[in-house]
Amino acid sequence: MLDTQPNSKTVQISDLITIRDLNMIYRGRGSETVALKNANLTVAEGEFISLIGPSGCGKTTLLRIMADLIQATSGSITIAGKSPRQARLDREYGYVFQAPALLEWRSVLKNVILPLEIMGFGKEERETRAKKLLEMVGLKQFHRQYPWQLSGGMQQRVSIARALAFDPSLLLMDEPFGALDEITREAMNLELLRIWEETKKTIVFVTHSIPEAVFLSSRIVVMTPRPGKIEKIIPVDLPYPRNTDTRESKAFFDLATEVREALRDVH
Amino acid sequence: MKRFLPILIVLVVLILLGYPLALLFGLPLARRDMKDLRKWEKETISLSDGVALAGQSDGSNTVFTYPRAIVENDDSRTLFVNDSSLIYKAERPEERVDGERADFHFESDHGLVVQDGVLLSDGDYVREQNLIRFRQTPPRNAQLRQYPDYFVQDSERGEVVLGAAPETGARVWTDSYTIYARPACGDTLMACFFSLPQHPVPFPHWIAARVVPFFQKFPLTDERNIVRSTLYTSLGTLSSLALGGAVGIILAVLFVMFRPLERALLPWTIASQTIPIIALVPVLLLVLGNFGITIQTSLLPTAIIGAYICFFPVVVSTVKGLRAIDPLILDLMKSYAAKPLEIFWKVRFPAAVPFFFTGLKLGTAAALVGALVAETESNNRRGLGFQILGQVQSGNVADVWILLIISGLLGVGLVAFVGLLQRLFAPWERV
Repeated sequence: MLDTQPNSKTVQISDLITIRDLNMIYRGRGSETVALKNANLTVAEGEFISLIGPSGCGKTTLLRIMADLIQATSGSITIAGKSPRQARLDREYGYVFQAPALLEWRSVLKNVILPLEIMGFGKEERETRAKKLLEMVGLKQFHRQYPWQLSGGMQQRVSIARALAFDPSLLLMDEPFGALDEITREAMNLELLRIWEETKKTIVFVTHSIPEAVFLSSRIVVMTPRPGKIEKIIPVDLPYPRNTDTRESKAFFDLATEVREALRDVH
Repeated sequence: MKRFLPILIVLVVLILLGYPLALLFGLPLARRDMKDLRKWEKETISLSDGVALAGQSDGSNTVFTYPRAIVENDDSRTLFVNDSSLIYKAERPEERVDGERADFHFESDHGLVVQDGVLLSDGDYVREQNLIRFRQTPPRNAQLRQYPDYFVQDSERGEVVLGAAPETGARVWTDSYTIYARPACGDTLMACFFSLPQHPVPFPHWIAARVVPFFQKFPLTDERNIVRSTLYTSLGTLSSLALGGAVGIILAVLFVMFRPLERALLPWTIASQTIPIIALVPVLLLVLGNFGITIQTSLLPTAIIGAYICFFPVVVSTVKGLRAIDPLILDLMKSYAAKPLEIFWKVRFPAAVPFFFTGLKLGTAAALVGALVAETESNNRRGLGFQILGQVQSGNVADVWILLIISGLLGVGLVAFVGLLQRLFAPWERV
């Protein structure tokens, strides 16, 4: 079992995430809520996958199970060939939350450095990496500021830089742009695509927004609520690099319509 | 300038409020004085050989036959003698306010007046039937109100009219009368007001006029010097804050780390705050005294007393800070597979810093009270607490007010100082 050794990142698996018959049931007092029912999904390395669906469809639950922030009731899931717990302990993924979740007592730079501190990177490397990432998200000159001095979009970019700081192969993003206005959101989408192309990460992206999902993803996973399950997987064959023109193309509209109809079927 | 405007407004309002308040509290006293004056004016008190006629507060006169009388006030004792043939021995009565006991002898001649054991010569006084006129004004007597029934003196005119209170035996001492001076009072209410020896609420400008003399009262070499007193009290409060803050942090961390400990100790922590500090201080001093730590020589008792009352808001606030962590941040730390100790030092502890200082600010006022109370228990003549007590006891009302203002300013200053520390240790907070 050489290739399942922890910490071995040399293992090359084309399927980064494999999910088989995953169920998640929340047990309350005398009631059971099925948050996820028989979910099956495979994510290949380098893919940009969006999970889309209305509230309560289990998309965040699915993401949190991948991140080992919660544990599934039944079914199997492997991340880079490991259990989610092992993947978490091996720091296989970076997680970007709905809110920036920055530490308010740390400057922007120190926030990006935080995971590097915990993971025991050397002092100098911490600074170089963090500064490089801040440059990538366009916040180089803000590194001394405290989070509250930044706008919402800038804060979320810091949080993305932080998730990328330790160079994980996988990025899990839970509605990272949900709280931003439409204009900022579109700018952020462009930026995220650029980062994705630059870093060649695998991204699992949860969103409410159909245009966002279509614009960003290589595949869209449409999910439906009560019980939460995967309804349909729509491949997006728009060519990369995508830009503002992509949003105006006919193919973009057709795909958006397809997603919208898939979502409408449910109701 | 903008920051000081509120303070300025409060100051102006207080000063403007000071005048009506001074009148409000002073006028009833002035009215009482005026009534007293009329009463005494109505009464005639005569003293002839061996006979004293005492005016009573109910307006009637009683004749007493005593051979001699002693007029006493704070600074002098004067013996009036009507019998020339004897050598008189007078003993100070034990019922005196100061409880002192002293013998003094008077050699007498007919109509002799002896003051403080010294025979007054004819030139020092003029004697008329029932009236002794002093050449020099006898000092005013602050004890007046303790024995309002008997005495008569017009200090302005330097006259003493003899009288006695006959009703209680204790006051008519063996072979003597105790006669107290009364303050001069004008004819009108306002004149009486201005001649009041003490004002419960002095006019602000009276307080202001006392400031410079008050600061000059004791030189810097004297521990009663006001600047030294203030420094001493600040030192007491700051050591209280240091001790209380340290205890507060330790307890808060323990509470957050071990929930059962919190359940066990929190009720006691709350109960500890229900004990009135004034009852606790003497007990604490006794206990510490057993270990040779006294408030006369060490700041430790003050620090412990202050810490006792200021640690509580620190605990409550810091616990809140250690707990109030955004769940997302805890998820984030989990995603980094961070160890509990790392979560504590990198997340919980820094998040609690502003909360700690907020608690410490609340505790500052309490710690100052603790230091002041502790100082009143001491007799080393140090600190504002001692000063306040001393000035109250000697009835220097204006000085008490000055001390009150200084204590208040000290409180504001100390809170501001803690605020400065907060800015220093939690620079990320928006102002």
